[in-house]
Amino acid sequence: MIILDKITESLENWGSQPVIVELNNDGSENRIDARQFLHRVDELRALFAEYGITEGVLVPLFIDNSWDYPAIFLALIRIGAVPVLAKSLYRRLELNEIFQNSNPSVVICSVDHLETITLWTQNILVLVYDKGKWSSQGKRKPRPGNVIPGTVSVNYTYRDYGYPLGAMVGESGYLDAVRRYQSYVRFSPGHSVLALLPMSHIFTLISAVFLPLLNGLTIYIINTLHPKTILETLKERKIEYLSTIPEILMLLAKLYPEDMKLPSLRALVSGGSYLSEENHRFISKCFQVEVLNGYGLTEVAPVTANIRNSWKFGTIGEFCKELSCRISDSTDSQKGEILVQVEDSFLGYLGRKEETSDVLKDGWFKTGDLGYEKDGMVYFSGELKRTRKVNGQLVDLKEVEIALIKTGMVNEAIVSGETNHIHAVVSLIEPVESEKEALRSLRSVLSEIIASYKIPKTINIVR
Amino acid sequence: MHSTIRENTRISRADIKNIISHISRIPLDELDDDVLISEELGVDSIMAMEIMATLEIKLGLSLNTEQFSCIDEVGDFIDLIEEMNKR
Repeated sequence: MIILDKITESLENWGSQPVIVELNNDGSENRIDARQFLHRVDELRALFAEYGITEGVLVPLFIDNSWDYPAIFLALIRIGAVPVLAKSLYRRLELNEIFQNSNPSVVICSVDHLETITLWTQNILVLVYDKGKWSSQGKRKPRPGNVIPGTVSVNYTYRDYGYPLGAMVGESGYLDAVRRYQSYVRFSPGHSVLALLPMSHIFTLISAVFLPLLNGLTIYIINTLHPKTILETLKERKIEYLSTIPEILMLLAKLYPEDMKLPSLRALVSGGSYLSEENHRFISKCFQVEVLNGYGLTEVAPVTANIRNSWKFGTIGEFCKELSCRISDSTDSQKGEILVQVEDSFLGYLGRKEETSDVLKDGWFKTGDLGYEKDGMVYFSGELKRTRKVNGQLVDLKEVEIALIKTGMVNEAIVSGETNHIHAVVSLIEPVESEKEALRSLRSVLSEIIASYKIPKTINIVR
Repeated sequence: MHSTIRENTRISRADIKNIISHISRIPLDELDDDVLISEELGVDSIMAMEIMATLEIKLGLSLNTEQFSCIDEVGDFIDLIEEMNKR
C-alpha cells in the first residue's frame, strides 16, 4: 500500500517532536515518538497475524480514540486486512445491519463496548482491547470477507435507505484526500493538531490523523469535549490547528468569548457539518484566525474547500481542482445536485450493488446534496436525500421511522428535521392514558434500537 | 448567547432543568428526575458538555467531568450539581 510506505517514510524522517501526545483525564500523558509508533504498528501487525488475520479479512473496530487507534488501523492494512469503521454508539438496528452486511469473522473491541456487541459475537473471534493490553474471546479462525480488491477500509455511512451502507474506501480516498486537504489548509511541519472527534469518522481520520502523520505534525489527543479543557489544551500546549465540527467551534466561541487569546493558533478547520455564514463570521471574529470550511462525504472528501488566504463567508469554498465536479442540470436555476467523479476513492457499498448503481452514474457520484456555483465559489443549499446532521453525525430519517415502528408501540411514524434537531410525529398502536408515560416508554425502547443521538428530541403523538 | 456570571450563585432544580431543556431542545415536561439523560433523551456528548459548561459559568464552579460520567438520570445529575454548589 502506498499510504503505508508514505507514512513510514514520513515517520523515518521525523524530527525530534513527538508523533502523538495523548493527554489522559487523570493528568498523565503518553508521548509517542516516531520510533515507538513504527514499533507499535509492527508489534500489532505481528499480534494480529498470530490471531490468524490475513489479507482481505474484514475487521470491525469498536474502539475509542487513543494513540493506538491509528496504529491498529495501519497494522491491519499492513497485513492487507480491511478495518471496518463502526460507531460504539450503534445499537440493535444498526449493529444487526452492520454484522449481517460485513459478516465479520473477527472484531476488535475495547473492553468497555463488549457488552453492546455481545449478541453478534457469539461465533466469531473477538480481540479485546483494554488500554493497550489484549486478550481474545472465541476460537474461530478469521477468513477473508467479500470486499472489492483495493479497499483500504469500509466506512459505514447513510443515504436514505433506512439502513447503513458500508462505503468501500480505496487508497486514493485517503492519500489523495490528505493531499487535497493539505493544499487548502497548508499545515506546517513541526506544528501540532488537536484531535477531538471519534477517529471512526473519516473527517477526523483524514484531517487530524493521516494529514499530520504524512506531513510531520504532532497529533494531540484528548478524550473529553469539555470546551474549557479544549481551550486550555490549545493554550497550554501551544497547538496551531484544530480540526473539528462547527458545533464545537460555536460552543467554544459562545461560552468563553473572553478566553480566545490563543497566540499559537494559526487556523481552524471546520468540517463534518454545515457551517452557516452567520456562525462562520461569529467564530472568525471570536478566534481571530482563518476558519477554513469545506464539504465532503464519507465516499469522497473533501469535494470543496475554502483555501488559506482565499476564502469567502457563506460558501463551502471552491471545487477541489484535483477532482472533476459539477452541479447537475436542474429546473431550478439556483441549485442542482453536486456531482463528483470519484474514480478509485470510493469503490461502492459493500454487498449493495443496487444502492451503488443508484449513486454512481457514468462515473459520477451523486452526493444527494444540493448547491450552486457563483463566481467560482460553491454555495450549499440543502439535502436532496432524507438525512440530517446532528452534531456532525449523519441521521437517516427513514431509519428512525423504521426504529419507531420496531418499538412495537407505533403504528405510523413520520420523521423530519433540520440540522441538530430531529422531530417525529407518531400514531400509537394502543390508546394511552398518559401521553407523557407513553413517550417515556417509547424513548426507552427506542434507545435499545438505535444510537441515542438519533432519538427525536420532540415526539408528537397524533390519534 | 449565554451570560458569563462568574460569582457563586444559587440555582434551583427548575433552573437546571430549564438549561437542560434549552440546550437539548427537549420539552421541559419530559425531564422527570428518573429519565435517563443519554439513553432516553438522546443527549449526546457535545450537548452534555454544553450543559456542564453552561452550569459552570452560571455557578462559578469547576465541575469534575469524571464524576458526571457515572451519572445516568436527570435527578442524579441535578443532585450532584446541587451538592457541588453547596461546597
